[in-house]
Amino acid sequence: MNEPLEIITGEAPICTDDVCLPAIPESHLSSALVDLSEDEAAHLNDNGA
Amino acid sequence: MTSLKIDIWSDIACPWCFIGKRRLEKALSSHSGDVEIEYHSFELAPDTPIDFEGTEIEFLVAHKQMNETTVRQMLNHVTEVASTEGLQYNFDALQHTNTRKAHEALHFAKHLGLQTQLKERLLKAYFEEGRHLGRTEELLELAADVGIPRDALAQALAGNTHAADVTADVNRAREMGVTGVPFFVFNGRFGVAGAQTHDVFLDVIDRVKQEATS
Repeated sequence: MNEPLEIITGEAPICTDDVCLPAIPESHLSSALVDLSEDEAAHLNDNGA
Repeated sequence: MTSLKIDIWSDIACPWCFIGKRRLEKALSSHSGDVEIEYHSFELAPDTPIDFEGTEIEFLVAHKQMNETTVRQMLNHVTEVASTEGLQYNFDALQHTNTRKAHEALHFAKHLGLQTQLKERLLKAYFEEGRHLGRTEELLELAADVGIPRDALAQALAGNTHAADVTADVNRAREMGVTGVPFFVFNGRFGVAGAQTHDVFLDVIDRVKQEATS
């Protein structure tokens, strides 16, 4: 797992399965910036994604 | 110069995805390195019928259990924000539909190197022009606008050639814990959720650059 990054605060509008919200609900993500694990990053890179 | 690879999960029927796209583009306009963008599928409402007889407001009231006043306020807010990004949303003309085939078309376009062009065309068609993106004929016309061969795409859509690719993208998002879009991944390392301001995108780009040089 990578070292956690400094969290960028500030809510942003987002669409979920439920509804398009004017802001990110805390229940969905605790921060605007999330740090992917090394496994996630490797998977993305391996798949050219 | 740092190269950027940006993976973006989004849905055609996502008003904040088009706005987020514009904000990201604004941030990237000051980036001097190479940028590669790849779009991935995310279906906000996979149970939506292709032909929904009603307005966007009626759909949200009926399917999301929202009251009409709240829906109108929400759409007015989105429309106002979109206008600040140079987008002219028209929810009165919008034709709510299932976006599965549109996603398949985007995967087809990716193999031709025309995915970003088609993504822009489809978002504009959906939110500004009231085009029906659930119908194959409409998709073929819009794809042709960006140079995608009509017959080849028709064959791919009829044969569900890229259906598995759409499903794989949706599953990948779920595995990463993504529950909403737009969702951006920079260089396979940093994830950013939502239509952040271009200042936030600039900050993330700076972080990617710092990591690349450290």
